[in-house]
Amino acid sequence: MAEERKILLRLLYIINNHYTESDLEDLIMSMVRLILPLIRKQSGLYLKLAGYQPRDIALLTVSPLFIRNRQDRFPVLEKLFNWKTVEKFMVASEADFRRYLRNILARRLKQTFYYLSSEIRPERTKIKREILYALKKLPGCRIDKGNGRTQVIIRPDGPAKVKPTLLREDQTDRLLEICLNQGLGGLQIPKFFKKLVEVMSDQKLAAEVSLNNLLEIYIETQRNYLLSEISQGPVPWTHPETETSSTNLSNWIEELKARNTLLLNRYLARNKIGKKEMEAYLKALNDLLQDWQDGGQEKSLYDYLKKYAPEISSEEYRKEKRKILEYLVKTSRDFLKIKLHEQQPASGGT
Amino acid sequence: MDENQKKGTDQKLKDLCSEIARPAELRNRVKLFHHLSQVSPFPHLVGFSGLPSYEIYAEKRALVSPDHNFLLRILHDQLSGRLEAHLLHPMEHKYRYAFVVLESLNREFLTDLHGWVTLGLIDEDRSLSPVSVCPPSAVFELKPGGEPVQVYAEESLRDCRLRIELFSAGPQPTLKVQPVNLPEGVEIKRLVLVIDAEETLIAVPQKGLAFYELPEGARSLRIYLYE
Repeated sequence: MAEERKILLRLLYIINNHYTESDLEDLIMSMVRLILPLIRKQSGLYLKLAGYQPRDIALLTVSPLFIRNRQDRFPVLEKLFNWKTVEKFMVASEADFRRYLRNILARRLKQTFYYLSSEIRPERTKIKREILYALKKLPGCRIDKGNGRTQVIIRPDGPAKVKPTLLREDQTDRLLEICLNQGLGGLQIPKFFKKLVEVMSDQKLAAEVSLNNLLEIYIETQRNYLLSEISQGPVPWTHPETETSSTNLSNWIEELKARNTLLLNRYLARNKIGKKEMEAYLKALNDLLQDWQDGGQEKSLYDYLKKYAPEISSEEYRKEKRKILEYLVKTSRDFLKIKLHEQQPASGGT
Repeated sequence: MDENQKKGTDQKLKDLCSEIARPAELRNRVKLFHHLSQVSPFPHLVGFSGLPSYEIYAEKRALVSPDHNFLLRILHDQLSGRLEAHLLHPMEHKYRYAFVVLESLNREFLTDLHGWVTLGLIDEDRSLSPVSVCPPSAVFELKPGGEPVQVYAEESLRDCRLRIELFSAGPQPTLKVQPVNLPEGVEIKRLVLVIDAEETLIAVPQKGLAFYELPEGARSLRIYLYE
């Protein structure tokens, strides 16, 4: 039986409130299978950077349809697929139903991205603006705004006889590879792109990519900066995020959190800080660790702490708190450096 | 997608389905036992007025928690043949919007404001053992234009806050709810939104989030958290 027909039958069972767990499972599976390719198509690296995988987005899109009421019914799902709709599609062609379902899911997916915008795109608008500003000033770069999307064309000046190799949208991995291998991480936006254009000129390359992809490349390079900053040279690029490096990093972060708790407990035992203050330090450090993973420190250490201890004035911070927080940040950074050094020979890096 | 990712996705989906279709493994579950004392022939329905008289209902049995604070009275609706249940506790936050779990049926029911719940046409002898209840661990109130205010919380969730965002631009106003400041190891398994003390929506949070579509003109919202 065709997939669409199956979905319709499952919907009928649910509308009749006569469903089993396996009906639900089939329905959710079918819906997720339909939207996963859409998510992969629409989303770039930024999902991964924000800690979301495509399947998380799929589940977040689908799960509101399965919010129950006290009568064990699913009001949102039943509103979208009421009796009239399901009956209509029982006699219509499967292609019609597929189109209807895809439209509904695509619309809801768009809404999910919108609802998550504050989490998966922090600071992105600001960075994007800065990138645009930097590119406008840079010779060899052109911005083309058409069809509702911003395209960046990088064509470094070179001898007229030599035609550069053009990197297109589907070759952004190559561009990222260049940024990582040339150690562009840690550079501010104008310098980053200036250097990128220089490297592309040397390698006789040109690029036509969307601004969004360029933004992801910039963020991913900054994210890798933490890994490359202590090594003798840049860490050779293999893949944006391998399974091992991601697992290692999360293990280190967990270990680091435990170390910070231990250190703060010592401060607590010596009555240098209170219990509530300790919590604030820990949370501030956790936020900082997250930002390190997401591209770097975003604000002053005082701002990280103030979020969880709003009563601390800047004067009080400078007098009493700063040295504690700065010490904790320093030891955290040193800890990561040691871990990275240890990993270098194992992973075969330079 | 490689094989491992595919397996991970399939497992996540299965988890979501079983979370929706089956009772959650709620941490605060309190097991109930059959109360051996004689059940009242004239059920006095606390917090339950204006409904059919006791003649319509026959009290079938009563279940209690080990500390005798929870009392679940199972009543039989003589007219419809359905079983109803009435949960009682000295504290209102314990019986309002509490999950009643019939483990042999693998089903959960949510009580209303008065601790009342309809169990439906179920076999009394086979379904009522074992039974457990799970009250909310924290309750928040949200008034239009205001911030969520914690009105009740158990000790472990005292510092818990709710991050709320209302999206009114779409076809249906949507409320994004995210519990934050949760202690280490605490997971919110169910989020229940009660709209104007009438409509109740039960969500299984994904990545710690739930999106609720609100009806037009919703004024007072209460959010119940279950760990």
